[in-house]
Amino acid sequence: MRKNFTLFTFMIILLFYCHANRNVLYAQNTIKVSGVLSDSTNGEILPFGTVFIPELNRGITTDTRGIFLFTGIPAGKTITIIFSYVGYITKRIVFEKPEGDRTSLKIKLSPLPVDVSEIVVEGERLKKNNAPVISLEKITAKQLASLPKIVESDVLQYLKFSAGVQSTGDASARYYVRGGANNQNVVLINDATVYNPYHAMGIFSAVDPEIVSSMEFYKGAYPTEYSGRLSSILNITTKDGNKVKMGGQAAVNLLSVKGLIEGPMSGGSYMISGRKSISPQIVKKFLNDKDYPFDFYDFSFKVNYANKEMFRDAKFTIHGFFSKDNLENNNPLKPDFMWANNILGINYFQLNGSLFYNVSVNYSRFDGKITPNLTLSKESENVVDDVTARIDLRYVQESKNELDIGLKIQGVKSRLITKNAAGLLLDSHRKGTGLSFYIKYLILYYEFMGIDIGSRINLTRMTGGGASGTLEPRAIITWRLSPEVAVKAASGIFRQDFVSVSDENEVIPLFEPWLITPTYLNPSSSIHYSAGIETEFIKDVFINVDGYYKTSKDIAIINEKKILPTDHDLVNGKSEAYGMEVVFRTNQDDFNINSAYSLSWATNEVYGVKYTPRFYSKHNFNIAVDYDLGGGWKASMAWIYTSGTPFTQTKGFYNRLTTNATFSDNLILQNYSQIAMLGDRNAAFLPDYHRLDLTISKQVNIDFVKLFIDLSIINVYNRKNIFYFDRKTGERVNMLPFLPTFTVKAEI
Amino acid sequence: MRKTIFVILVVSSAIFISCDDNLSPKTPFTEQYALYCVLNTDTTYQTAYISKSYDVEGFDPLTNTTDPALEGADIRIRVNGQAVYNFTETTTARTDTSRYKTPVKYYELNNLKINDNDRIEIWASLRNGKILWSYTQAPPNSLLYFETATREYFPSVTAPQTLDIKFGWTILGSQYGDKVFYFYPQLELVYSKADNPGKLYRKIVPKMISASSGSVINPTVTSNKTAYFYYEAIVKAFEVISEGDPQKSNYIIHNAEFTLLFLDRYSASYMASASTFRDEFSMRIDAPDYTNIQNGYGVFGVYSNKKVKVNIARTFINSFGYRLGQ
Repeated sequence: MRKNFTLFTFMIILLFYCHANRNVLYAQNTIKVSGVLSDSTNGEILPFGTVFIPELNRGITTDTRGIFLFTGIPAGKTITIIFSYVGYITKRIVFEKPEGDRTSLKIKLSPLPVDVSEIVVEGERLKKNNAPVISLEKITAKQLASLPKIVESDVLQYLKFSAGVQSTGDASARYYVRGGANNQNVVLINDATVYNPYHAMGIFSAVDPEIVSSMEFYKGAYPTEYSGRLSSILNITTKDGNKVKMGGQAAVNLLSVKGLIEGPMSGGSYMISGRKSISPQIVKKFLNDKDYPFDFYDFSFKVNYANKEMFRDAKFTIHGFFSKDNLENNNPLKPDFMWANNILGINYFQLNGSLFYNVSVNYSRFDGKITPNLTLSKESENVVDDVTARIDLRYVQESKNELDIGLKIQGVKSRLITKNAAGLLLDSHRKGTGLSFYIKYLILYYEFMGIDIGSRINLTRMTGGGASGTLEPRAIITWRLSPEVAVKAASGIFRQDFVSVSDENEVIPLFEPWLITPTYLNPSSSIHYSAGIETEFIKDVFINVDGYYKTSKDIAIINEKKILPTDHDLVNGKSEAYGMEVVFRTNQDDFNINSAYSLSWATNEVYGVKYTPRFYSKHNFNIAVDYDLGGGWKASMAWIYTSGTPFTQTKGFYNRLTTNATFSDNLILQNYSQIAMLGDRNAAFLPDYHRLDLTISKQVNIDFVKLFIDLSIINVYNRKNIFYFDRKTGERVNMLPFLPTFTVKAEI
Repeated sequence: MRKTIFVILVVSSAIFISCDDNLSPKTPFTEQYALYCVLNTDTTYQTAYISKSYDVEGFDPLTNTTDPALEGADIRIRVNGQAVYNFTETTTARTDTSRYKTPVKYYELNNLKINDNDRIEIWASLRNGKILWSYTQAPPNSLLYFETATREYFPSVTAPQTLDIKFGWTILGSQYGDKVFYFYPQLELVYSKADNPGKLYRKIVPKMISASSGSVINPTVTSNKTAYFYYEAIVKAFEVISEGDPQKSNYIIHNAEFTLLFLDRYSASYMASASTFRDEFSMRIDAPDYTNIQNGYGVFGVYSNKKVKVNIARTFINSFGYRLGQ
């Protein structure tokens, strides 16, 4: 490992050094232009906005903080910078022969008027950048709100519209990415891990969409700065809060009531949001009219402070996220459930010349509990305490190339208290520290090509057992063949040393405890290969085709053959997944179409037996259209189709000897129970799933109050999509029926 | 134009009107077989049972009323690769004829004595030529001894403050120092009723009572060499004997009997798999199952049992209103 690491570091330094010569050449006659793109009405930053300099034919996008940085701009030459963002009026700024070392801008874009349905945006065809990015979806708050609403917009339900993402149905926001299990995904909120990002058994996301500023969703081959999961990263950045004036929102729908207040403060802004469930009735619709009296809340806040006097171009942030779900049956013959997230974090960011600093410390705690009451459920409790500190440095060279270095220290304590089949209390208490850093070099110098090459270096294993020093090398390349076409490829190694004990055979898992991978198992690892092509032959019509191949080994899987107390709870398994994804997107002024198709194959292997995982569906297609009708009216529709997920058929019955007493009597005189004999595991497929949803929205301005009214119809043609088939009763349990819902939101 | 496209998309999507699906919860039925044979090392009389699988209309297996027991099989046991023993077919009267009317069909063997560490194989050749096969190794039954700490009187005379009952045992022989063995401990109250004192009843004593739910927790297969039965569980078993009957004095408690099953790995696994459970919200699709029979289902194993009689103090029995038997 040491040899590989030395070699790798040497290579990165060599790359950095080679391009440093170009920097010297550039630095003599160039300046830097940096800035923040934000909304003029509330100061909220605009992530993923486009910034373009036509004279240099250079374009970049703002990051999740709305920040952009151009280096290597020739001094003394007049340039124009164009800022554009969907739904906002494009802005041009002309620099007459800029001088000096660096110019810092604060660009505020004005939203398009509500009653404008046809607008003309400045017609430059922005040059496509050469950023080496693949399998990434950048999702803004506006996009999140554009889909038809299942009761309300939902952060995780939105992901189901991404190519390569699969789910097991309406009653779960759990998602599965490119053949990986749900516990191979991580949801980050402002870089802090949310261990259970669900409300109501996983039907809804615990993150209120109203607090979301942007989301970055990596479906694989993600860059070096991210770690800890085999399949995907969802990084949610919350809103900063209104920097212009104090404001607020209040909304009510069939599920919850919620409110948000935000406003400016000395040197910064704040945002406080809360949501509380008001009725479990809507949840019954998701669960075949069964009565589950869920009660939940979530609460979040963010405070930003940026004092120019103290630090130039810096921002200090404190954020928190708290959620809790209770399922209290008030019936001693039914068990009660509880789970909660408590997250608190601080973040310091500064742009100093060409150097980005980001320092963060986050604390995330997860609590889950089952109280069995008078049932045979096992009394169980899971507590995870996670303190993660990280430092990320990004140095942008004059040549546009970047050097990224980061350090991550993650201290985790996991405790699982449960009872085994014998009723004995098991207290599994583990703690560990993961220490890793990464180094990568981003080559953006060549206009036709971008390369991101780097590696994570894991210095410790969280459990302390097994190989402690490991590399996770990763590389991404983008090659722009023409302004309209780019090809991309990526590969990387990814590791995971933290697992949730989830049983894929459970239709609705209520208790998924998280554990540091036990020492008797190797940490899971995965290799991703991705390649794709993106095109824009017609203006504003994007087509992206990606292919991927992913193998994973040492996946921690529940030991279904655990019978004796001495048997391990988890065993290592393997998986293989490959497929192709096509994304079609067109963003017109008042009309957007997003469509995705994926063709995939996935297999798991455990005990030497291969099978398709429960969440697998070969074909996934969806199309979402939203249309601005003008006058404050909007309409949207979404249609989803997935081929059926696998299940295990019954192939007959047999009489099984019941040995609940002793063998002491004559064997054949004892009782026999009737057992279903199962066919090959997951060898058959449920019927296909499809559903059409519609939403019509109206925005009304009454004095200073904006009123948003949404009427939605879920499953317009009342498709009877099967949820699962009860083997014992023969009952077919269906998912959501035809369901009208509404949301009313007031904003000041 | 754009409105037209929007309408077309809505309408074209809506043509997927709900319709019947081709769902096949069952795969075509093929007959399979289950063999049950758990040898008892304490006797030379052994039994085996073979049944065939069946299908029913719908999903309720109880609607099948045809006895699935299989006749005409040739079942043989081979011990340590040499001696071969043949089972013979026999029947016995069925006590419960609510489902199956015909006598119970099974196989028996009268002259098989199992010794410590014997390697035993079983073949069952069915009439259709199919062969079910398995093997196991007998545990060292002769080396199992109860420890002196094992209770033979309750409550303890020497330590009356110790209200729980503990049983301990050991396997002699240095060669077994680290080897894992499997046991199933069970404690039963032996009692009779005044109206028919000759008939003995047995009541299983739970291992413990759940502090949170109050539910009883029974013993299960373990590799520990101790077993505890907690005071609350013993009291519960005493109470349940006469639950609903005000005439407590009609109950005559004779003693308690501790039985320790010494199991091979396969019968231990089979017993343990039968006692797993899930909570009601965990709607699990597939139930766990266990078999060590090649080409079929069921179990082939070996066990022995050892018993300890536990006398119970008259004062304790009387505290429930019961009487002490002889």
